[in-house]
Amino acid sequence: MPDLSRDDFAVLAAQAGFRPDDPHLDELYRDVVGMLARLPIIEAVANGETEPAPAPGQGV
Amino acid sequence: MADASLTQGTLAGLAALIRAKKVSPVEVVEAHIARIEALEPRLNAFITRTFDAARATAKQAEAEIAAGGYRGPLHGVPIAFKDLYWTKGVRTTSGSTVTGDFVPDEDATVVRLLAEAGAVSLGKTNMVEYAYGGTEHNEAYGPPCNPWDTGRITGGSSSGSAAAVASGEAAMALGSDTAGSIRGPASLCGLVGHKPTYGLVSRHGASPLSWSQDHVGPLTRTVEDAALTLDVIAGHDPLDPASADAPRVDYASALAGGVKGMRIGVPSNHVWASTHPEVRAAFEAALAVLEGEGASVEWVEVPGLDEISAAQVTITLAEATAFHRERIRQHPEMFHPGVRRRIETGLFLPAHAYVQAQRVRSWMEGNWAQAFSRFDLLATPTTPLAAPPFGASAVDSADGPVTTREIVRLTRLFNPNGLPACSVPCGFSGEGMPFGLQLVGRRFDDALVLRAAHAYEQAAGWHTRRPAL
Repeated sequence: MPDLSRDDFAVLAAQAGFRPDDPHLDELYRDVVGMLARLPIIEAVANGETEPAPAPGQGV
Repeated sequence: MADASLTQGTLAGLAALIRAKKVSPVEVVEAHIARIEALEPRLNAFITRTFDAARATAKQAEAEIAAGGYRGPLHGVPIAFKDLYWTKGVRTTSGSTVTGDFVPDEDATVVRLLAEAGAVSLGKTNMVEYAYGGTEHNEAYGPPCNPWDTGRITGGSSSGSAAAVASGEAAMALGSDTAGSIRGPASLCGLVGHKPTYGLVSRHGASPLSWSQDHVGPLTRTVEDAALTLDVIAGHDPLDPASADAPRVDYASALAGGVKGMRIGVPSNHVWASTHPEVRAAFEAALAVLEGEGASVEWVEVPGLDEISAAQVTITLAEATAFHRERIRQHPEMFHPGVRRRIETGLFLPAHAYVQAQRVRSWMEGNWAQAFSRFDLLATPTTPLAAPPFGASAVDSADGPVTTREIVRLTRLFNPNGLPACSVPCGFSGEGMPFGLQLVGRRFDDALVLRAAHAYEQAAGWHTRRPAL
């Protein structure tokens, strides 16, 4: 989900139950963009046949 | 008149005095209550004090021991619990006013086990709200202060537990650790903090942050004290779905033997991107001590550290938001702003990202296996900096600023795969603030981790220092 625009975020936020005029949304938008920017690092590895490990010691 | 010297030793030392009947649990508990009453206006380590119950338990312990019913090293020893452990009939706030009136109707398994061992609870310690953060103040109950300098943070989230033990208010306090919340505060307060292997200690009755990454463990003044505590709290619990039926180990007895012949790997990647030069110097001096004790040390690239760090954050976002979803919708204004934003950010995490983070956890198993095929232990600094002043977002160093948000960068690496990790004091900054050495082992090799930490501790001697309060 690259480059989430402020307008697209507003749509998602409304679906999540936030009021459009919530002053807190601008700060939250920055955090969400930051979170999404970190995802490529986990998407670049553990592909192919690797199964998820819901807890330590599981998966592989 | 309470004997203040009783608050300055170790859990093991107190146990020896109590067992030999040189001091009674009543005297020990009264000394700690006096210490708490004297220091709390400056430290704010406790949310709830349970002195009446403590006095009654101490009297019972005194009578039992006098009658020959000594239960073991925790009998009559004053301890405290991070305020996310359920305590029957005693409020358990998890550091939040949202659940500030929650009074459990049962004890957490670890609370029960420690009570059965005869430990005396002095109360519930302050913490970062819902354990979700490494540095935030607690706005609802006030920030715990670092006993080494009350103008500085203790680190979190087991902040009050660290302040209580470092100041001599309790001989041991339980913390919990999802990204470093035992080890970080231990490092910043000059204590030992052990995060046991995932599944070794029951999480039943510990309010969760991230089910698959939460660990229960002690903060103590010495490694021996941590081992004595682990001897009580480790074991299979059918009430915890993640609890392992691992072979019973006597951790305190396994401390002897030193590090001669042990192979210690030091990650050459990830760790050093933003670590204060004072911490690095102390860490390298600690490695020299370990080598002097007969260990071999080798720097090595451990693949996947950047990825597992990102996976830890992603898994926490998903699981913490799942747990707090209703609370954050109903009472968003009651949360600390930083905690609130983290929980709300998780509402926007794509589902595939959570699963992908779990795949990274699976993938990382191979990298850990490769590392531990060559080494018995891995070593890093515990925190990349010493405790910063309240409100500081960065600390200056000769290599440039080190940001305080980095505090859990080196500890969170070992939570997704549940590896045992112990922080032991390894030096002090130029401003007199402590920091720790982190030793990490294979799953269920807690005894080896503690043995190496004990050998280092005894050779280096940092654990004998106490803050001047």
